[in-house]
Amino acid sequence: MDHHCPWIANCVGFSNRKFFMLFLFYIIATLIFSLACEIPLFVQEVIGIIKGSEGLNVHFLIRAVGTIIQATFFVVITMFFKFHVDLVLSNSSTLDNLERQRNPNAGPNVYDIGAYENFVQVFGTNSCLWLIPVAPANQNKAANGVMWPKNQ
Amino acid sequence: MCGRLLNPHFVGVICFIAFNYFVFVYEYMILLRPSAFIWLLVAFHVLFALLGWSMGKAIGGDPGRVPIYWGFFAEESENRKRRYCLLCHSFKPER
Repeated sequence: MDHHCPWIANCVGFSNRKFFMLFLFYIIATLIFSLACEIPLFVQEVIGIIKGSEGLNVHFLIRAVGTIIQATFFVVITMFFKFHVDLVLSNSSTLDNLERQRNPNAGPNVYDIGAYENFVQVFGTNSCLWLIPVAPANQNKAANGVMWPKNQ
Repeated sequence: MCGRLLNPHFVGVICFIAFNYFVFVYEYMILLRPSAFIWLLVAFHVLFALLGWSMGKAIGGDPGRVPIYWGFFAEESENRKRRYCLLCHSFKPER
């Protein structure tokens, strides 16, 4: 168990880290898809209003506010997701990262066994299931949330 | 047990996701009716279902617990202080 995340009202730990990452991933994917559909339609509407062929109404305002909120959160959550992808690829947890910030001369990360192995430790060895929210299969290397393989 | 769901961050996340669903499905697809809107709605719901599934597993999944009695037995020359979690009733391991 690593740390409590209030946004999901649960702690993030070894057993649910993959689901937390996929949660962020699918929020971003849904936002990208929504924005890609909405922005052309919204631009068309704005042009129509400027030309005077359509009038302002409350639904247009709801769309405007909604699209702007989606775009803002897309930027913020993508940055946050990138931070977490870097953590996974370097086999570091949120608390590990905080410890290293407080104690910069603590030496290299002994749990870093290479980007691919670090990734597979969280997402499982079966690439077909990387994007599916099921528990990862970790046959080799035996990281179990209590002990992790070290690179020394 | 469910009291942890009442914090403002989590409620904010739920509201944000619900608002996104409403804006896309109702405001854009139903009210504006672009030509391919059936396919866009299908694709959106597939993504949204995966989002809900991941979110459910992230919220409900057990993150893993520190084994009981971790750190209770004297080991080697561990003279330093150990951090203790009052909620889990166990010493906090290195990782």
